[in-house]
Amino acid sequence: MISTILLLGTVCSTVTGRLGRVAGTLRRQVLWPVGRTLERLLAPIDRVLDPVADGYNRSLGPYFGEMSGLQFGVIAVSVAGLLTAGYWAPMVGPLLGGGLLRTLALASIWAIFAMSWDIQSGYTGYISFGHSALSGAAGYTTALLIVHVDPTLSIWVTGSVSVLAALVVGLLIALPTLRLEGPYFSLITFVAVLLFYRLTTAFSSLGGIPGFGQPDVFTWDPMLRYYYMAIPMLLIALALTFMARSNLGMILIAIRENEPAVSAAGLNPTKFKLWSFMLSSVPMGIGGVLLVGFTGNVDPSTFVVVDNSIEMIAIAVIGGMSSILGPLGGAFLFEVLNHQVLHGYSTPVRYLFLWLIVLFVLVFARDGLFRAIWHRLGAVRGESE
Amino acid sequence: MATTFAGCLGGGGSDGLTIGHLAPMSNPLGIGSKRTVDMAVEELNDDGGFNGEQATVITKDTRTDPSEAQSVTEELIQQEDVDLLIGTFNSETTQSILDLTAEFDVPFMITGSAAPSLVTDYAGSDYDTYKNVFRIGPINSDFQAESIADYCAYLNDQHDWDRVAFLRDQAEWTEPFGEQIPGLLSERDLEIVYQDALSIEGTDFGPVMSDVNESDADFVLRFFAHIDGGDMLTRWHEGQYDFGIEGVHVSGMLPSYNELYDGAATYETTAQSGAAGVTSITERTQPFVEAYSSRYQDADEAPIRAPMYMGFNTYDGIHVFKEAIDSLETTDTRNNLDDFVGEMLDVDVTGVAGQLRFYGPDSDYPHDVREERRADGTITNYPVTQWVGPEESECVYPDEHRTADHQLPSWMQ
Repeated sequence: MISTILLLGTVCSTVTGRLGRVAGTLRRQVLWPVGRTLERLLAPIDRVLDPVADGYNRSLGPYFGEMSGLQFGVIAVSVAGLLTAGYWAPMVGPLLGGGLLRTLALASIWAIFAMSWDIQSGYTGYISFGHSALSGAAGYTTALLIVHVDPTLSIWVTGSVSVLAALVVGLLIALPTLRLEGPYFSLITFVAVLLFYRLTTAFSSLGGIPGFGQPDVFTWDPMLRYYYMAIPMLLIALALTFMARSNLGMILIAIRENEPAVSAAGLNPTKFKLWSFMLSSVPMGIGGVLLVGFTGNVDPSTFVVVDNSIEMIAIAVIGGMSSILGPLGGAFLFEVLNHQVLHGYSTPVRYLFLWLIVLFVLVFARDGLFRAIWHRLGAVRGESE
Repeated sequence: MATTFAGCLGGGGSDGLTIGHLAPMSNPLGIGSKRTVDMAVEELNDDGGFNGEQATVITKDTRTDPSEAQSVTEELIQQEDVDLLIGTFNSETTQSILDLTAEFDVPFMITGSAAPSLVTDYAGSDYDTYKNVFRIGPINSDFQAESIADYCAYLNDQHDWDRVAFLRDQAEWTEPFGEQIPGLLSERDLEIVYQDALSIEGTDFGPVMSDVNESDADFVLRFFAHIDGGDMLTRWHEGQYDFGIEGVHVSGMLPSYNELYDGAATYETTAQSGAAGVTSITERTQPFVEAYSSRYQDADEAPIRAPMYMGFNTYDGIHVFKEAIDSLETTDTRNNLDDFVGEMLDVDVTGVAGQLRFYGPDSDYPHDVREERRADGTITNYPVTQWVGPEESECVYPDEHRTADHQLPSWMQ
């Protein structure tokens, strides 16, 4: 038995060693030269855009973070791309299997979820496995209001109450758990979502497995629907970036890096962790309301299952945790891969690919793809961000 | 005049006729349905087409996932500009696309889901919005419950079985059975001695079989579509339990099912539209089953010998559609929905799974396929088949379609 373990250990270490060497060679002989060439090509663009970026840095930089010329250019092009997607996506869509606007609308919702998860888990380091309970609370509140109170209630009423419900569920989870340290917080959030799932399937008054089909979608017009999802997403991205760059964001990062030091500085970490959870619950609620308007059906597999929580984490990991905009990019990459690029494959095969990508990012690009790209963009002229 | 003009504007004639088929393609029911939609369209195209036009079929995989079903349905409606949608298997998936098809006035024929709510909660409560939706088959669960209760009475006549253990999937489609079966059985002097709704996420049949055995039931009446009852059947044969296993078992409808379970399904029964092609429900049933089996005998994927129930219904749906289109005299259904619906309500077609006629707007089940009844009122278009050998099954109910009497398990004979 022991010899088998030793043998396995030797094989594993040899394989890992070899892999490491291959990765090293790949990095030295392929990635670095490509990177250097790209840097040489991009440096003039960076220089041209610098004055514009400087203007931004002086006026808005203190609130949303400073950028280099190239970073500013990429953000400007991305925002313009998102704002005009309603017009270009129907033309590009057929090349990617069709239905691109639907995927982009869905990606906007997942971007909200991933960014909300990030402001709490990515920034404080207290990893939540139960965030789908928050969007689920909002979705189920909307459905229950429509089914049991009044089917003609305005979206402003159902939406506000639903976001409030997400906040209440968020507080219910956060209050007793955020005093805990280590893995207990993660485990309790995990149990919370399992409990919620069982609650929805155990009682037929909560819709059971088929859920509630009564809520209406906002619209079936693909372009309009996309903007209904994308514009709240961009506003949430703006708000969360502002929060993350404020003193609150600094304290949250400090909690992640050294919680005792935060206490020693006279700040109460539990209070700030609670703030981060509340800050996360509100956009999660908004995302939940948007998801109701997207699918028109509130059921456990769309809203609650723990897989949804894990998917939020995967998206944040791919994009780059504790960066807000990284998870946003991650959501678009994840959903476009899932629903467009890999569309021809069955769901299990698609998810196999996607989880392999998550694993790849965790092993080779721990900061996330978009964070890594962002930092490279900030350093094309040899300066660090 | 207005119809002709709208037809020209819609461009239905010049674009050709496109039929969108929706089914879970990793499920043999979906594969059978795809094969029969292809067969029907090919045959009808060769036979002069649909109002003279050739139709093309685009099949999309719903993956039994409501969100995926919505996504592919949107693609079919908005990009492929389909004139008809046909298919969908589980009720949850069907429900998720009803609004979408209604919004775009696309005729939608349901061929795999039986929940009455798909009709009563939609066309039944807002006819004008959901008038595009028709169900081709099977007959809805309310009628299925009645038919199954009559079948139980037949079992009582045959074997003196009057003690029933009633089991079902804990899912939307079995709700009507949960509500109606107890009353229907009691009206027929049958007693429920044990009942349970089993979790579709994994059930251990050990305790269930013991409980049923202790209840001294004469037979289990079970409604399984999500649950594969293979484990139950294996335990039944191994333990030689002193009761029959009857009712509805969707997995057991697969023509190769009994072989896959090494004969453990022998003596179980299941009700199914089309009776697995083992009997001549109409004069068209056997030619259809023979054409299917000769065409797909070398196919890699099941079902080989006959499509499962959804395939029978999908094949019939395409024939009904042709009938309506030929009378409508245009293939542009979306711009002539009211006229199309009118033609559908006039349809009276002999299909491969039975006679097809639909309930009108004022009935309890608008646009649902009508059940067939004999003179004494007994429903006849929900036949029951029994496995009698590794590859052989017989139709045991109703009298009109019976190929053999119901057999007791060998250990009970």
